[in-house]
Amino acid sequence: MKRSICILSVGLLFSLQACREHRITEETFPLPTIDFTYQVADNTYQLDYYVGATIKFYPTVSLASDCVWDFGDGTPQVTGDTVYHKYEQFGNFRVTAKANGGEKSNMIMISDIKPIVTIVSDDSICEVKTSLVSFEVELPNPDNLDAIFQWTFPAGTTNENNESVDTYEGRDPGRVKFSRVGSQTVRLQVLMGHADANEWRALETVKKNVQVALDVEAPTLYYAVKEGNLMALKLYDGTAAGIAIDPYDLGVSSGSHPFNLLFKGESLYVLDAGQQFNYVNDENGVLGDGKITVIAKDASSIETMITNVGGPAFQDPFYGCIVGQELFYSDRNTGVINIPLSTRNETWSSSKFPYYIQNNYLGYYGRGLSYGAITGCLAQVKGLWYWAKTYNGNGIWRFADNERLDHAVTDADPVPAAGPLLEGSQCKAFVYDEQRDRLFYTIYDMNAGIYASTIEQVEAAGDASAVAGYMLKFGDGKIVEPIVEAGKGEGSSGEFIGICQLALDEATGDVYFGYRSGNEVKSGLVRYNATTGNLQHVIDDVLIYGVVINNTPSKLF
Amino acid sequence: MMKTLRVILSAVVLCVLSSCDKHDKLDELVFVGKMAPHVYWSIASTTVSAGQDVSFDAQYYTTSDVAISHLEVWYNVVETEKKNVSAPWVTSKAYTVASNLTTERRKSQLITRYDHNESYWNEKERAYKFAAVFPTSNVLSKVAWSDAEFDSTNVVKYFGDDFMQHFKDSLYHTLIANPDDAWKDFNKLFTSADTSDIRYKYRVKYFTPYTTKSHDDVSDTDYSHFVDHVIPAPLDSLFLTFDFADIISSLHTDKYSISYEKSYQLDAQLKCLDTEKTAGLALKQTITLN
Repeated sequence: MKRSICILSVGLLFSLQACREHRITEETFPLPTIDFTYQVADNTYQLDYYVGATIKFYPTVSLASDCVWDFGDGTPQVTGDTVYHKYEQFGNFRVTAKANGGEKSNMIMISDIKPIVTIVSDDSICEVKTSLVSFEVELPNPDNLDAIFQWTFPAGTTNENNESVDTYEGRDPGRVKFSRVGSQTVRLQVLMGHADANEWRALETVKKNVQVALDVEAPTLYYAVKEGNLMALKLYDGTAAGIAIDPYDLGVSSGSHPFNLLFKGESLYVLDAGQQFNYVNDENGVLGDGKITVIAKDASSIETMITNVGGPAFQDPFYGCIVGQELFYSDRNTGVINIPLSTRNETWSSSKFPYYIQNNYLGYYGRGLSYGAITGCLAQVKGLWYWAKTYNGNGIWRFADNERLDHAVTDADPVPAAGPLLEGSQCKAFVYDEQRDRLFYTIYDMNAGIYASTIEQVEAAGDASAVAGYMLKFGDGKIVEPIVEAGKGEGSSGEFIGICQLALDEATGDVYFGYRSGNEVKSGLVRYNATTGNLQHVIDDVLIYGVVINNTPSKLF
Repeated sequence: MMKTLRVILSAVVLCVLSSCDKHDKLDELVFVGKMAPHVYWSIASTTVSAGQDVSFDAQYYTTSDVAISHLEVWYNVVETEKKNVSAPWVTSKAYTVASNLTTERRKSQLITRYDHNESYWNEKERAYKFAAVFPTSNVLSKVAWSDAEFDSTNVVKYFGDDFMQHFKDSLYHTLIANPDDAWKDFNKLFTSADTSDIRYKYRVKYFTPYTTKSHDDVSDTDYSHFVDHVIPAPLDSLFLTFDFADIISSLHTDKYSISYEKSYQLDAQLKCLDTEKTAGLALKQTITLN
C-alpha cells in the first residue's frame, strides 16, 4: 500500500509538471552580418537615378565604421559608414560593401538623362486637322550641361499657318496639328554637352504618340499583333481629302496568344491562351500561363480578370464570347466556363469555376463529337449556342441552353435538336450578322476559305464541299487559305492560327479578320467590304490574332 | 488487489503525462514572429505609362495591442530585354539569334510613406480603408526598336560593337558546313524574276554558273546543288562583301529581321507597420511600365 501511495505521489508530481501549456514563443531572426541600401540624395528626380545624381549608400544592418565600398564603376574604393557617390556613366553597376569580415553586393541601375515630353492641348481630344497641340519639355540636368533640341514630326504635320512641319530645332516647336488619324509619333532628340567645346552626347530619342481622333464618329476596330501591341483602327471610309487613317498603338502588349478579343461597354477583354497553346505533356497540371485581362477602351487602365498561371496548361482561356453580363470562355479541348464581367484578380480552380458546358455533357458526344475535341470560337446565335471544333469532332455544334446535360451523356440522352453545321470541316472562326442574316465562317484545310451565307443555306449545304458558291474572294479572284503548314504557321493539326476571329461592323455589315496566309495573298488585316462584296487588304504584313469592334461610334476610342 | 491498483495507477499517470502537455505543432514547424497588422490592397491598373502614378485602394487592421504607425509602398525594378535577329532567307536551318533576359536591376526600396489616420476606419469593413497613389519613374519607359527604323548605329547601341560582324561570321560558317543546304538558301536569296533587281544580277553572275543537277536514286528525282558540292569561290567572296543589312533582309528590301525591346516591371508591395516596427505585408503586385 505504501508503495502504491508512493507511485501515486510521484505520478501526480510528474503530471503537475507536465500539465503546462506549451506557449508559442516569438523568435528573433539573426541579422545578416552586413546589408545596405541606397537612395538619391538630391531633392529632385529621386526615383530616376540619373547619371550625375548624388546617391547615398547606407547600412540597413549596423556596420563598423571601417566599411569599404566598391561602387562597381572603376572608381577608387572608399571607407565609411554612410557614403555618397556620383556615377558619370549610365548602366548597371554592382555595388559591394565589406565590413565585419563579410561582404554584400547589390545591383544599382543608373539611367541616362531622359527628357520628359508632355502634350498640351486646349481640346479634350486631339482632332485631325483641327486641334492644335504643343509640347512641354522638362530636361533633368543635374550637371547643368548645355542642350540642343531636335524635333521630328510625322508626315502631315502642319503649324498654325497650315505650313508643313517636318523638323524643328529648339526647345519649343510651337503649336502643330495633324492631318492623319491614329498614333502620330513625334520624336525628340536631345544633345547634351558643352557648347563652348562643341562636345555633345545624344540622348535616347524620346517618342511621343499623339492619339489623333477622327473628325466624325465611327466604330473602332481593336486587333492584337503577334509579338507586338494591341492596336486600334477607326473604321471610316468617308474621310475628307487630305486626311488619312493610321492605326493607334495602345502601348499595351498583346500578350502571348490572344486568340480572342471581346468588347462590352467601355472595356476590351483579352483572352490570352499563354505561351503554350497546343499539346504539351502537363502531367503535373502546372504549365498554365493564360489569363484574361480587362483593358479600358483607351488603354488607360488594365486589370486582371482571371489567370491560370500555375494551373493546367489546357485550362488557359482560348476563345469566348460575352452574353449579358457574363463572359463565357473555352479552355483548349474540354469545356466552357462562365464568369461575371465584374470578376477581377481571380485564379482559376475547378471548384470555384466549374464548367458551364462540357464536351461529354452534350448529346453530341460519341455521336460526332469526341474526347478532347479542340475548341474554336463560341457565340450565341438566335438563342442557340454555336461552338466550333477543329479536331476530334469538326464542325459547329449547336445546342440550346436547356440541352446541356447535368450528367455525362448516356445512350438514352437525345442529340440537340438544331444539329451541327458543316460537320467534318475545321471551322475555327465565325460571326453572325443578325441584321442581314448572314453567317460568316472560315474553313481550314479542305475547302479552305472564308464564306458567307444564311444559316439556312449552310444547313441545306450539309458539308463544306457544298458551300463553294458562298466563298468570299478578293477583287482579283484570289481567295484566303489560312496557313496549315507545320513549321510555317503557329500550331499543329487542328490548332493552326490562320484566322482566329471574325469581327462584324454592325453598321456596314463589313467583316474584319487577321489573316495568316497559306497562299500567295499577303498576310495582314483583311476586310470583307459589304458594299463591293469583295475582300480587301487593310494593313499588309502584320500577323494578327484576335480582332473585335467597338460598334459604338466615337471620334477617338 | 494491490497489483490491480498499481496497474490502474500507472496507467492513469501515463495518460496524464502524455495528455496534459498542450503541444502546438505550428510552433514546432515554423518560425514565429510578432503579430503584425493585416493589410490588403488592389491596384487600379497593372500597366501604366512610365512617370504616371499608380492608384490603389488599401485596407488594414490589427488584432494586437500595438498601435498602427504608418504604411509604406516598396518596389524593385525588373528589366526584361528581348533581342531577335535572323537571316530570313536561311530556311535550311533555323538561323536566329534571340534572347529574352529578365534581371532585377534595382533592389526593393521604400517609395512612399502614408501616415495612419483613425478617420480611415470603416465600420462596415471593420478595417481602415484609404485610396492613394505611388509614383513611377519617367526613365523606365519601354524602348522598342525594330526593322522600320533600321540603322547600324542602333544595332551597335542595342546589340554591342561586334555583334554585326559576329553574326555574319557565324552565319557564314553555318552555311558552308553543308553546301547542298547552302545552295537552297542562296537560291531563295537570289530569286527574282525582275532583271533590274540586284538579286537577279547576283543570281546570273554568282549563282547560276556554279549550279548543276544530280539524280537522287532514293527519291528518284533530280536536285540542284553547287558544282562539286562546294561553295563557289565567287559566291564566297560576294558573301563577304554583303553588309549586315543585306544579311538580315531578303537582300535589298526594306524589311529587316531584327528587333530589340527593353521594358520594366515593378514588383510592388504595401507594408503596414505598427509602432514597434512590425510590418504586415500585402500581396505583391506587378506593374508593367509602358
